[in-house]
Amino acid sequence: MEDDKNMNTRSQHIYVMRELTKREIKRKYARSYLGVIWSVLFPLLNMIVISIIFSYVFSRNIEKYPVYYYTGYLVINFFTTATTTAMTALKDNRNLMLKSKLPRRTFVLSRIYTALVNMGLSSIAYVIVCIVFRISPSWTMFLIIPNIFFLTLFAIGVSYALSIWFVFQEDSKSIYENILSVLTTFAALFYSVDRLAPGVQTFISFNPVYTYVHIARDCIMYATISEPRYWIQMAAWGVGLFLIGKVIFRYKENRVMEKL
Amino acid sequence: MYEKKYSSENKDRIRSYFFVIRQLASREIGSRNKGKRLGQLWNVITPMVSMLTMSILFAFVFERDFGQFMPFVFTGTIVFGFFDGGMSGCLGSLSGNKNLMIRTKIPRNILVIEKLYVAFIQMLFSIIGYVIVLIATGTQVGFFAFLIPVDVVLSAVIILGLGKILAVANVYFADISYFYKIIMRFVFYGSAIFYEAEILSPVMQQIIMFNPIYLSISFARSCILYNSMPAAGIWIRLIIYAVVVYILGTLIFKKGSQDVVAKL
Repeated sequence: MEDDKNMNTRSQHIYVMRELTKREIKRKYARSYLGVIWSVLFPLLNMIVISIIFSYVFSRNIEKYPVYYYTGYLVINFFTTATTTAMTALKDNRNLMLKSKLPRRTFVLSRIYTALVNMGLSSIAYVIVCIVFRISPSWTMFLIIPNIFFLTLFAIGVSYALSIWFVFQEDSKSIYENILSVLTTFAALFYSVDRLAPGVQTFISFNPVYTYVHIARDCIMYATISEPRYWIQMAAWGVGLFLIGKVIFRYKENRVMEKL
Repeated sequence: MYEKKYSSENKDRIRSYFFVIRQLASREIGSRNKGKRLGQLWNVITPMVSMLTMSILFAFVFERDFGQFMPFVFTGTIVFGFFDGGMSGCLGSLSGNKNLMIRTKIPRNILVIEKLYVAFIQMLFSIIGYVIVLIATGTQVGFFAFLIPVDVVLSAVIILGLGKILAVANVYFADISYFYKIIMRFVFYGSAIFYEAEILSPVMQQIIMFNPIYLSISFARSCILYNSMPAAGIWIRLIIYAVVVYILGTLIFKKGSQDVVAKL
């Protein structure tokens, strides 16, 4: 009986989350003609643009440059969108939160879910690009699943913490913007790591965002399994941040309501 | 009261426009910084951080001296920030001010100029950081730095011209904002912000000479960093750009901004 009830509320929450996500996507493309197609088209055009400019500069040491860029773009863009939109989730949904009894994390999670859906849509063009550039299928491609799983955990943890922080301090948005710009600049989106200064290489290798980019490229583009240290980092960043975020969220969420 | 205003001299009207622009701008900047303890200081910090990360990363890749590379990159990011801030502001200046346009008789022009003004103010803050970097790296600034206002004015005219076109286009075709983002991505990486144009493929080197942001950046670099007169080709192109874009923008804006409210 208890279990049943639990299941019911859970499925209700998932339903609400879906509706919130739908609303968000609709709102995002409200006035546009092409609508959701932009989610597919945008990264594709982005990749074409970067490839035109840089394939000459960087192509000498990066094979299949467009795929290289696209893989990184999908990962980095997911993380950026998820965390920056989730950061303001609590504040944006203030009214809804006061009126309903929904668990507060639903609002944060729905932003993450939106970013996931968006990444899913962008992947449609990605598959085509992979085929065009003759990326041969390999079993290692399945390794993208744990990679995305831990990436999502990582994004959820960071978002939990950020959404709370944003309620208490408005400067947090600017601070995070700067942190994010460091994290994404040092994530080897459009250049290769080999040509960088040794110190910078070490720094990049510890960057959580780069970790997920690196594993994604290895298992899809190069059909290899990344070095064990990246797998350890992948899981550690994911689980670690998820737990930290969750603890922060649990202890502070009641004070958030007072503050709002 | 109103009649008096309308019958007054042209000069007075222009003065009142300036007043409105300043009011709108301070409201916009205020709401952007609302609740932030460091407020405007973020406009100094954020450009510095992005410049530093880029410099650290690419000074080594392109084998450049770090001390020289920092002001090189910073010149690029500030000019780009001015263009992007101004144009993306203009892009939403009509579609985002529907209520204001319905309720008041505010000339449409003012909405666009206000966005340029905000971008200009933001740039002034990043210039504080720029001056600090110039001093810290011991960059010698010479006589030709006095040409900078010319660059700023030419850039502002180009921003205004393109901004007017974008503002009108966005009313009729909202997808333009996505195209804008893509194009600006292209322009960002194609403005030689963190590299010298010479490393690009020959074709790209030709194309980049048609990029007004690159022209403006290389103008600024010659006069501040190299203390030399910007090349004639850069002068000519920038001036032609400014004149053509401004005329075109004003014409399109005049035609297109009339029944904007009905369209929105």
